Amino acid sequence: MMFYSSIFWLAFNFGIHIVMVNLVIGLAVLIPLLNYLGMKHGDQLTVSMARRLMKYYAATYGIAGVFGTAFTVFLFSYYPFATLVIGTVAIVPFAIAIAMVALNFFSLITYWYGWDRWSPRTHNFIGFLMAASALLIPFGFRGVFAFLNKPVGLYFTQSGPSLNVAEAYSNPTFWPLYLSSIVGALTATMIAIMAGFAIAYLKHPDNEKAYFEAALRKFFIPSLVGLLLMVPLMFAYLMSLTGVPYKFNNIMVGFGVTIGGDAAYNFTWIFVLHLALVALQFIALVYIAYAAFRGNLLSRHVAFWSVIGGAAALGTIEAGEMLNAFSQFPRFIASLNATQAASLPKPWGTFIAAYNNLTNYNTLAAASFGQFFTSFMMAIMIVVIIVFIYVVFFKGSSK
Amino acid sequence: MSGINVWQQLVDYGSWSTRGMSIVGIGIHWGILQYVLGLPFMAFIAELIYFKTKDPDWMRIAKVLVKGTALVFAVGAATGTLVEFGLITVWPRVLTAVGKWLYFPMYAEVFAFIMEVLVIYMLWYGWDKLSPKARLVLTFFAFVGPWYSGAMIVAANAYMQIPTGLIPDYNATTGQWLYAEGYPKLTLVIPNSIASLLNVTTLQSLHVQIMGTTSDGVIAAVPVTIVDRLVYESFAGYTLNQSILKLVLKPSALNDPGLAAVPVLNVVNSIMDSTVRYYNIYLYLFESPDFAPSVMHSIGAGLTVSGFTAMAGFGTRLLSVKDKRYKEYLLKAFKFSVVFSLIVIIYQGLIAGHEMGVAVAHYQPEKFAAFEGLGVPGFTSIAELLHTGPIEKLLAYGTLSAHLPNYGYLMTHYSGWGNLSPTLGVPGTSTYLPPLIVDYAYYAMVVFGIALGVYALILTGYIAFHRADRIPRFWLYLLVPAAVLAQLSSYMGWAAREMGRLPWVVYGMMTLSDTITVNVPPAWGEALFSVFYIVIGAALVYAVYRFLWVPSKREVLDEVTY
Repeated sequence: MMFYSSIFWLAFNFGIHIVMVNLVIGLAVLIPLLNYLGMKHGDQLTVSMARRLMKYYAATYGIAGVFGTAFTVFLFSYYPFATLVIGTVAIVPFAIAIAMVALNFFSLITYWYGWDRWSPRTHNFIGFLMAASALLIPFGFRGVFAFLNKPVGLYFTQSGPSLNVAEAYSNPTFWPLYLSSIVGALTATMIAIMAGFAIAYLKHPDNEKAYFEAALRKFFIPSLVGLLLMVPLMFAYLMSLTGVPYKFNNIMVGFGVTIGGDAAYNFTWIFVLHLALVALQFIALVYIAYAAFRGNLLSRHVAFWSVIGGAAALGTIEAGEMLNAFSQFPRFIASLNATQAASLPKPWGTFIAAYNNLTNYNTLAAASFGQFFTSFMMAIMIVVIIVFIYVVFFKGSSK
Repeated sequence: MSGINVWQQLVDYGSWSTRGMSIVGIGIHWGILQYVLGLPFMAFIAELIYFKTKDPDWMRIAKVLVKGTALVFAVGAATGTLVEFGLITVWPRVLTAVGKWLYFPMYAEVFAFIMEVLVIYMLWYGWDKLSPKARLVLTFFAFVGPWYSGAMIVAANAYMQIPTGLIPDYNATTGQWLYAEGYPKLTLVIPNSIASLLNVTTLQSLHVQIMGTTSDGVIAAVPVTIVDRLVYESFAGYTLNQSILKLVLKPSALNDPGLAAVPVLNVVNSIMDSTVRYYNIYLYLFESPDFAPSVMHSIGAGLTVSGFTAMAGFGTRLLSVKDKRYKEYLLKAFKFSVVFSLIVIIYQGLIAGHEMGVAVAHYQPEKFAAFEGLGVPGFTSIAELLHTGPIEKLLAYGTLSAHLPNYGYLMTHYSGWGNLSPTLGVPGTSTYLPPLIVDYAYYAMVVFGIALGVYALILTGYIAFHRADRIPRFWLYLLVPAAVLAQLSSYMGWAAREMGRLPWVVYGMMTLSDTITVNVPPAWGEALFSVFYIVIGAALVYAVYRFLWVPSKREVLDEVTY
């Protein structure tokens, strides 16, 4: 596979974005839940834990938003005509996602700034909106992804292409993808929360002991259940891709499994990496369970394995998304080959045939100075993000 | 002759519900942007004054302004995302054109946006963790980020107003419109591989002028009616044998079946690519004559709205303040925002606004004609009502002997825009004129601006004579209306700018009908989204009230560490 900077930058931005988005979804659900349960049981530690996590949520949302926007801009600058096709066809799934992104953002702002200012009932309601909207954002975007797997529900009228929305949501790849995304996001976030409090515990054992222990007690079993659920969901999604042989073959060829022809590329190694990271999460959780069984839950070893588990969880998301994206390389719509695309009604058939190919990018946007500029600015931005994370999460007050 | 219905004229462009949704969505985003452009700059100046005076009140003023920035920026970022996806879904061809040819500023804007998000939140969340010097550095970037971001977005918008290489169609010295000669024209570079297939004599008969050559192409001034037609054909999937281009192809090329099946899109892409390269792919957009004045004017609008809003926020609190120490702080903040507002509104009116007007008068004479609305039977033109003609001539063209473009004349002769296409036997460009309602929007902006300037001058007068704490309540009661008026003035300016370029979305290149999606959402869906945007706007106002205004009622100065 040749190196294309256009694809590299898309993957880079998307990779950071998607990891952050998974944390956003998980935190949006878990924070109001923790706050509600803490308030209900008069458990101040749980309420305080929710409040601490809220700051992480806001910062995560900011970084997710930045890289999501960067991804969109890179997408339409490198692939303007592919964006035209997707934007025209997938208008309804996009509209769902847009509405939910906005609702999630506003509930985040009002939930965060309104803490202790709203009545508990109002605050809980806003928390519910925050959780519900976060769960529905991927309902829109995964609808678009499912379309990119296979354009189910695509019809052509005299004016152009249109999408039968009900049919689009019956896409065999949609529900396994959506459900595994939600379960994956919740699971990874729970493991990441344990890891976060483990880092705090390692830095300040006395101050953070109670929080770390509470995080383990609250999230260990749900995350183990989530991880167990992820295995069948992951394979359900893989099996749904048998309807998209091009993609399926690129994933499975390394195991000697292909359907109806050869694979164009071999991305089995990403799948193996993905599985290895899942296994690592299991090992981390098993170690924590073993330590708990031995009555030695609060130890540096457990904290260390929690951090390993958290890192593996985020790595699993990244690997899974990269596998999903690269396995359809170089196509935007995986199931359409050039001949099939060209046979669609004109002019859309012409557009799709020409611009379904990721190697057919806007050369103006990939000119040499542009690449230098992008790399230089990205390097600066990554440094700024590191400083940002340090100042917001780790730097102590100067008071 | 019966009077012209300015509303009907605006509605007649079609796609009303989609346009309405975009007007609401982008309008709310525009309103929010004003504060992101202005408040951090004000905070930066307050911090500089702190370093000069070492008076902690200035750091408190800066902190309040930064808090306001963080609040509105959050909502601005969300509405910006909505606008971006809105463009992708309902105006997808604009974004396609932007992505293909205008990508660089959008690309650079990503980094500006990243800078904004990270710097503004680092500044706000880390306020008590940072030293005053670190805050000053971050506050500097907190206003540079939005200005840089704004400049990049405006670059794309300025190109849509006046494309780089546009040769205008009006001679103000003689008062002549040059439609019959094929103007306005766009300077394009036609690659040799395409130029060699074209019949030069036929091209010249269509008023295409050969301006020169490059190493690999021919520089030509092409009537925008032809450009617009080719862009339309590109998106409609025409091939060469269906295109107007077949009329200018040499017979040998016309008879080549392979060539006949080439999509017009490929030809247009190739011409635009070589044109962009000719100007320099990174500087292409910035060479639009509209770019510099638009950036100056947009930032000026942000500073003005922010200044008057801060003035209202601090000033109205003065009306009911009881705590002496708190009053001292408020007086400093109020005086600062009054003087700031006066300075920026003078800049906005006399410098940035003037430059903007000159660019419009020279390169978008139809829009300028709509601003002035002269010579239209049955229409009450503000310029005719107030007899501002000589002033406009002097300001726009620098001489009283110039001729202002006359809208009444255009009403009779504007169909000249489409004259070339019927010659070719294909449908012509829409003959809609820019809507006359922009005359009212433009003059509303001017009149509001003058009123605000006078108001700021009166308040500055009180301050200059050390009577800031004895300003009659009457003037203080006007603070909130003035802030609303500043926002309204900015909104009117934006509306005049955007509506004035109709029927074009990219002046001379893409009409409104070329850009809208083929999957237009149902009107109820667009209305729902519009309501959604409005709720977001209301939520912002409420959030500012609840988290910025209500806590300040306690008359307690925020703790600031040094």
